[in-house]
Amino acid sequence: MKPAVIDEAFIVSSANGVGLQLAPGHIAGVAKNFETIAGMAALVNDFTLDEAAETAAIFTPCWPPAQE
Amino acid sequence: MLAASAGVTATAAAIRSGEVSAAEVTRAALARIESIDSKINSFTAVTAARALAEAHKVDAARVAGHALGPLAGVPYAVKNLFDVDGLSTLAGSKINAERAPAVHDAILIQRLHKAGAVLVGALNMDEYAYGFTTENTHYGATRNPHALDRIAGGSSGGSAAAVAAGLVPFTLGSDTNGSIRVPSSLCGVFGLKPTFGRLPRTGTYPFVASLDHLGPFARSAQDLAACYDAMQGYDAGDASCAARSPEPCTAMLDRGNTGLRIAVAKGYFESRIATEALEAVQIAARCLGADRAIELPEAARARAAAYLITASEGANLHLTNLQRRAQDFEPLSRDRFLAGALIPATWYLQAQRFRRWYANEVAKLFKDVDAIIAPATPVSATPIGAETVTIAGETMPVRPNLGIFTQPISFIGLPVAAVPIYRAGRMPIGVQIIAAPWREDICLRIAAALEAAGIAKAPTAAL
Repeated sequence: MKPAVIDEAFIVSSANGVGLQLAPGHIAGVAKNFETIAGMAALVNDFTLDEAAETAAIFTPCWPPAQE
Repeated sequence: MLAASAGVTATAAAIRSGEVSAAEVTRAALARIESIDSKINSFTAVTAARALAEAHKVDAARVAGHALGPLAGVPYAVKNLFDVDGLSTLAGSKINAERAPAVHDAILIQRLHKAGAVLVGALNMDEYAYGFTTENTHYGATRNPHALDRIAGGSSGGSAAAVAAGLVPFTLGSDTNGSIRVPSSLCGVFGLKPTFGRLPRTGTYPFVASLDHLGPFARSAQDLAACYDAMQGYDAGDASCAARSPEPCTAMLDRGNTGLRIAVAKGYFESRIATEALEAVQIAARCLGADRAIELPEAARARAAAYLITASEGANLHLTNLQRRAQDFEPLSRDRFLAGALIPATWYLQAQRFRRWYANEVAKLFKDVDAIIAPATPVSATPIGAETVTIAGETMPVRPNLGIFTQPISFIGLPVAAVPIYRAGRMPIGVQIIAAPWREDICLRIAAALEAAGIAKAPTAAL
């Protein structure tokens, strides 16, 4: 996603999608911060990873609690 | 009476020998907090009654001839995201002030209590640990004890400032992206961010569960090691805590840096950096005879990935309150939290996949070196309220950029000692001593070697 598409309409609709009603005074600040995030994401997404590359956080099954 | 600058080890020794009582030491610490803290605003709560009760127990144990713990009678304080029995765990926020008081101490406070340490209060921080400056709108900015118009760094700013001001010999803080190392650098004290999973976080308020670490601040490497050793050990209450036995470091410090292969981080760690920060690295490298250079692969991407994970997990944790009462969040970080809630899952997952790749690549570097020296912050403390800083001709926002050199390291959980490089008459600045996972002993040995050489020093600020 390029920062150019991060306009206020995009921010408001994305926020609505996760249940956030942004106050008018916050929209510009959120958009600016999201542009920074998108720039960081572009840097990370541009890096080619092997298809087998797993995430750092790996789920571990839990043992049942010990019986009293 | 002990000097205000007496450290952990000296204080514990004086109490053990009967030269001074724990109650006297505690009363002196409480008096210092009363008279000095209004200048720096490092404390958000003082637990005087509890502290005196704990101190009297230490004194009674000594008189009865019982064995005393290694930290017996030493006063300390904790960042206010640690649960303290009877206090609401603020985590720097207005919202959490509405929570019921904690009914248990955090596990690390319990361990320090067993070691005999005396808790005197809770310390200021950036709201929910999302910041590098401790300019907290709800509780006021913490001021740098070495220059009151400057920031203390963050998010554990109160923890670093209280030690730098000599209010207590040691404190605890947390570090997600640099929140121990940045304020250590700016306030001129020693800080330890152990390996991810080393110290259990049970009973602390989280920020980014996959990145959060806890650790101590002190005015010497030996004091740092003594506190760290008292807190080690597995606890099942923290899902990320490693099931490792304690590996004490204190007895290893006098080995110095003998036999250690030390390199200086180049590339990413040489750009966007002020001359004073580069000089600090060079001074440390010269002292240690570190003449080889090393480049961490893709450090800029690592910082970016840490940024994404932080924003996404942080926003997820606070989503309900962001939906219901965004106006009650810290104005300086509210829009960052809101923006983090909009991050697509695929960006977050790519960052976590990159994290594993990066951890494996950096691990390979430790086949050839034992430790890496890197700057802790790009500059010394900036003025309170400053929005931007100009470094090497580039003007950039202060708040997100103080952690540019710490984020690529904590991202993969490596242990780091932040070491203050002393320059008479100038503002403090520190370096990072980075080692392979679980080798805190190497970080602390090198910190002690720099201190023994007179290069590293954490003098108490004159207030």
